[in-house]
Amino acid sequence: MDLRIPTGETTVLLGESGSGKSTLLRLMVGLVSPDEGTVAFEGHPLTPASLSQARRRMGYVIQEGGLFPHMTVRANVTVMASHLRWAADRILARLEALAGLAGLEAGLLDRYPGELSGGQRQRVSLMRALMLDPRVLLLDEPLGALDPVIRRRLQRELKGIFQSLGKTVVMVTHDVAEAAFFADRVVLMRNGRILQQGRLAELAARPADAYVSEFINAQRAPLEELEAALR
Amino acid sequence: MRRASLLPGIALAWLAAAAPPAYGQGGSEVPVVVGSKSFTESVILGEMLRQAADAAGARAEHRSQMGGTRILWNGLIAGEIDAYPEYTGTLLQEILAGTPVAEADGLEGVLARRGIRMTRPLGFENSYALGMRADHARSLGITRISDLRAHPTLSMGFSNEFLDRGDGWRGLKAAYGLPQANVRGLDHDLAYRGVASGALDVIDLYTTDAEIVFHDLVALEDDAGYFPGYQAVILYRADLAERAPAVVAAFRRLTGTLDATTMSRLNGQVKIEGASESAAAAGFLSRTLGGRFEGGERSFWQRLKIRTLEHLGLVGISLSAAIVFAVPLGVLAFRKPALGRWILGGAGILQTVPSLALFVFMIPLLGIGAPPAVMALFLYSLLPIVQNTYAGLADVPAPIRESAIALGLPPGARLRKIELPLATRSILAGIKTSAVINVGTATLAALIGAGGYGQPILTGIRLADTGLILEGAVPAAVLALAVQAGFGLVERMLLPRSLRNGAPAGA
Repeated sequence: MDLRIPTGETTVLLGESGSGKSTLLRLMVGLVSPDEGTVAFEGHPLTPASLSQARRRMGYVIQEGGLFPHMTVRANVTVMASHLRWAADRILARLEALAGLAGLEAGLLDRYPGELSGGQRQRVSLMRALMLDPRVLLLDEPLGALDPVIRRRLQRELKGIFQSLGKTVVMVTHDVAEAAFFADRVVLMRNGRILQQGRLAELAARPADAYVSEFINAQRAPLEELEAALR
Repeated sequence: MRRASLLPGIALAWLAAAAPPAYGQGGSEVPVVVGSKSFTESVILGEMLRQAADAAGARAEHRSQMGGTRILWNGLIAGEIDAYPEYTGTLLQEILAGTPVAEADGLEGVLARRGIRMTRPLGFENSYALGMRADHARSLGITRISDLRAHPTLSMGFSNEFLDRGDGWRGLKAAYGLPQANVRGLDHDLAYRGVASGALDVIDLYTTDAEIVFHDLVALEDDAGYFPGYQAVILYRADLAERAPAVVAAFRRLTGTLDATTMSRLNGQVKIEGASESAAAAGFLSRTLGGRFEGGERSFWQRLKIRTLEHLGLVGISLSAAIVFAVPLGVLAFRKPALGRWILGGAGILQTVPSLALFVFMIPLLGIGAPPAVMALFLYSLLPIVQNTYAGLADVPAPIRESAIALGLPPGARLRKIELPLATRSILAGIKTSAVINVGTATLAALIGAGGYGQPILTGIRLADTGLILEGAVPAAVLALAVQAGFGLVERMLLPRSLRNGAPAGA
């Protein structure tokens, strides 16, 4: 497999469960290391020594948020900045800016993750990922656990945030509609391999094999049924 | 008290216990430590030695009921005690077994080579004998030990020491060709109750035991002359004669003053009339030597305070040390799984050693008293804490662990800020388990001379005094409950509200 993630664009890793898309994302952040081959970040291969520096320039968000249950929202978001001994006023300014960006009410900052709704937790998780102003955002099904209305609203907000920040984004999803909404480019995976990559429209128009068009069209069918039922 | 400097809590308790009751105030007294074995006569004699030493101007401490012959003898050799009452037969058969000793005259020479001196006999002989209920023996027609050969089904209960030692049951059985197979070891005082109730047919006796008359027992005639003479003497360290000549002189004045009838009567005062050992000893000394001796009786509350301090010292030191060692071990076991198997396995094996045995194993390494008890309790407290630390860390959900890694937190910071806080509840539960076990197990520490709530329990068993047993058992139970409640409070203080009341760690 050979994959380059272009800077400043949103790349969506698409595929069904077990296709390897989450593993690919975890390779990028160094949570797993490759059996063979290399993962390079900003032109330099990731090594155990370079990982901790590289991770500070990546933000990682997972499905349930991965928030630390024993810490308040404030502590969750600022834990790494505190560890790096940022000045208190710098931390506070950054925290407030992020709360504004992510649309989190200030009153929630001293709550614990268990006291928040699922949508609020994802906002906090995004704030935490953005705290050090990373170059790259890695998101693993960030909206997967949310109900549809909240999910739709957060999708719009997230896309606005990505556009305003101009960051390189890699997002994992199995939802073709979500991919269509976010992606500059999609990477369709199956059984640990990349089947095809490019713009979604290209994949739809010129599928590399039968599975590509099957995967893209499978999620169309329920929409067509829905439209028919509403008509 | 050299070791006590390492253990301030225990030292305080010991000092309190060793404070002279009424005699010998003043700053220049020589400290003298007297020991006694775990039976009443030895404790009474130990009290006599303490009071006599006190009256001679020493600051004497009596470590009562330290255990059996070996523990006392080793303690004397090691200088942990300065003197204790012993019997010549035990010296020859048990301590010096295998050492050629011409006659009792040569005994002093053999002892002197080991730095030990022996007084002249106190005046009475306390020999081993086999005993039965008088009516039972009569109905079977048994008057002599050799008569037992015709009754192979009789059940026998012997003190553990008698069962094991060379001049005890094994030798007796061989000398008389006794056929009985139903033989068990048990506490000497329980044996008396067993034979009185008919649960046992034959037990070993000390011939000055007051229970012989009380329970209407007969001592069977030693018709083959198997048991050697057991003259009571005082053993003391040779250096005591230089450090405290007045004390040694006081010990010497006791020789030849105590005949078997008197000793049996003193035993009876304690075991049957319920007097304290120190009162019985003081009465004898006053009558024999003249002057006023006081038993140094303490009130219930004074005793409770001393025992509580001792017990808290044992538990506090051993548990604190266990926490300091076990939590890092648990972390190590989690971080290095290959090593972790050894750590968890090792701690597990320690836990399988019977607690009493663990206490006794410590004696050759650390002597007697608080240090070996603290060490045994420490070892015993490790497993629950190691295990729960390991489990608490292993139970941190993978998404949370990985989020911390992905943030870029280095391993040390992850442990400190994320993993250990999330494992706190599990670790506290482990410490709580250890503490409760520790409080209970520490009652055994009295067996090796470390005091605590086990002391009244031990004395209570020896004297068949339920009140005394409760005096140790009830505070121990209360302390265990208090420890449990205390940890509830600590948990409230240490845990953020999101982790209290069973909130799942992966919220």
